[in-house]
Amino acid sequence: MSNHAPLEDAQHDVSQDSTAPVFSSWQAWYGLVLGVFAALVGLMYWFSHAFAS
Amino acid sequence: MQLLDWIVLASALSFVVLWSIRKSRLASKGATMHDFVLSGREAKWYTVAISVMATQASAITFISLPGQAYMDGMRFVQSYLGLPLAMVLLCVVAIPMYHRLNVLTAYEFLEKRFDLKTRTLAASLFLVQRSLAAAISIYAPSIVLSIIMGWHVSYVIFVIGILVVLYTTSGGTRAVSWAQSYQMAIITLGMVSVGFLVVWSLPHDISFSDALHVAAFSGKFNAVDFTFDLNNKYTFWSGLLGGLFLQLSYFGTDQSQVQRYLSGESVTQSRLGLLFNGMMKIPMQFGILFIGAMMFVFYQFSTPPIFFNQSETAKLAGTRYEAEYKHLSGEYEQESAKRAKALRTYTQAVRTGDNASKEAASAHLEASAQTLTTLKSKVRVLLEKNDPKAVTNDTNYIFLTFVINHLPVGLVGLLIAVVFSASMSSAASEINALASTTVIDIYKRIFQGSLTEARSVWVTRLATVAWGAIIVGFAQFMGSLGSLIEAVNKVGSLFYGAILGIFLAAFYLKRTSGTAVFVAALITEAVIFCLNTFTEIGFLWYNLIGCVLVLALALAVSPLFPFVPQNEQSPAEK
Repeated sequence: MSNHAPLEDAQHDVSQDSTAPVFSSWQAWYGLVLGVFAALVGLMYWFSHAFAS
Repeated sequence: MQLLDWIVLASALSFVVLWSIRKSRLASKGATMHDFVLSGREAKWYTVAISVMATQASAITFISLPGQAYMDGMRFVQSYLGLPLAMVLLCVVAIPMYHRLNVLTAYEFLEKRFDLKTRTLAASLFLVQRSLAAAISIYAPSIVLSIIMGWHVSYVIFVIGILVVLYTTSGGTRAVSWAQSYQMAIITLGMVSVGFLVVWSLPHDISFSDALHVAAFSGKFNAVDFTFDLNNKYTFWSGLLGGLFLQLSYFGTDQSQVQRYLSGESVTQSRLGLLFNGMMKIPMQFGILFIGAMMFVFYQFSTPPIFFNQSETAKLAGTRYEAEYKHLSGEYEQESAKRAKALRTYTQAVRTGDNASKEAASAHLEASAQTLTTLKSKVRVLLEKNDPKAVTNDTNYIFLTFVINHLPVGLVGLLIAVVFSASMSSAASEINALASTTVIDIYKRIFQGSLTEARSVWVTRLATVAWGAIIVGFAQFMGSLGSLIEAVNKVGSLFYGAILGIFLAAFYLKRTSGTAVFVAALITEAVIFCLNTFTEIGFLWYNLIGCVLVLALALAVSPLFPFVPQNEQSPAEK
């Protein structure tokens, strides 16, 4: 028996209440958050230099 | 403050407290621990998101962050760069795990995976660091009233403590969430108003575009810096890597946050709440820092006090340093007026593309910035000579000085309500979590395991009152910590790396024993405190170093404390 046995003894089945809304999967949501993050870094980098004259 | 400000402040605060008590009392009759600690697990994603954001954004955020931008530019925003990545990782790993195990606190998981002593160690580290951080977050708004009304700081701390304990004890997590919804509305309204007003208050001949060029010229728009330097506190890399570990630890293992998203009615609702936070946090911090940068521009054309904490400079009155202080203040005013004139020349040159004038003005401005810095330093020296215990960092007073002196009647009251609301929203989550952890992870687990549900709720209410009292006590000693936003992150960083290391070991080091992790965490904490005392390494790196050290040491000492599968352990060992 592995040391993870107690963790695998699920006390609550979460498969039914973890459906991704709007998109077809959670991966799409994660992609959206990381895309927004990349865009924000890009915008802030532009902002850091745009007004330095 | 005028009468209208008082009415706005009193209405906002009393409405939040009374409404949250009323709403949570209606729903909490016959409450179980699940109801009291996780509000019956019925929160929608937007409630989770608001609660998570309100918990993290304490009064320190609104008092200290604009001052941080005024003094140091917007580079502090980089310390949040790890947050979106942390939210995604927690959605993948932690949320399904916590929901599946149906735990009330994050530390319950550690006993299921390791043993009681590792659970107790992590819970104790949380209790120490979170109570210190909560004390800092309650102390911050007390600065406001100590300036405005001349009240003793201790009384203000006491009043905030009482208000928070009132509704947190009454309705637990449900009351905290209700209050946070209204507090976030007050905060948003107040900060948007001050943002517009600071730009609107610029001189008529200085456009918004001019203001952006002045801030950029003065080095305030240093939002992203890709250089790699361990001793530089805020760079892209320290924010992304150190910040990732800080946020993973804060949101993944700090009960004050775990309790917020575990109150979601499903994995979906909890995940959406954290993902929304992941997308909104950086713009929110950027906006607050931008307000600070615009305040800097405002004060380039409207002479600021030479030292923003006027309660400190007032101490020089009647001393042998008074004449020198007045002389320095006069010089500062003259130099500021010259600087404002040079800035007008500079902005005019930028508009017309006159490079020769621009270069001449730039040289003048750089020299004047140096002169002003020297004059401020001389005042700090005077303050220290007069009183060696004087607080010579005035970063936390800049925002409030602007609010009090330059906002219209009514809005001053609203902005003071913002500071109070922010302080109460984070302090309530923290006290709520400290009480839950004390009862669930320490009291019930070690001393009194057989409490009934009703008795458990009663003990948790009692623990809420006790933690409120302890934090109010701690807050009395927080006066000399420099920038409060840095102080609260630094206190967290001293402990978060080790706590995150313990959780990651639980997740990923499948053949490591609880004792090995326990020993590794203790050694790591000793190393982190040595690094803090004897080196200049930026504190965000403590999170990464602490986490990696726990994992490496746990593997290294594993041969000394071998892993024993749980079905081979005696009942006593479990």
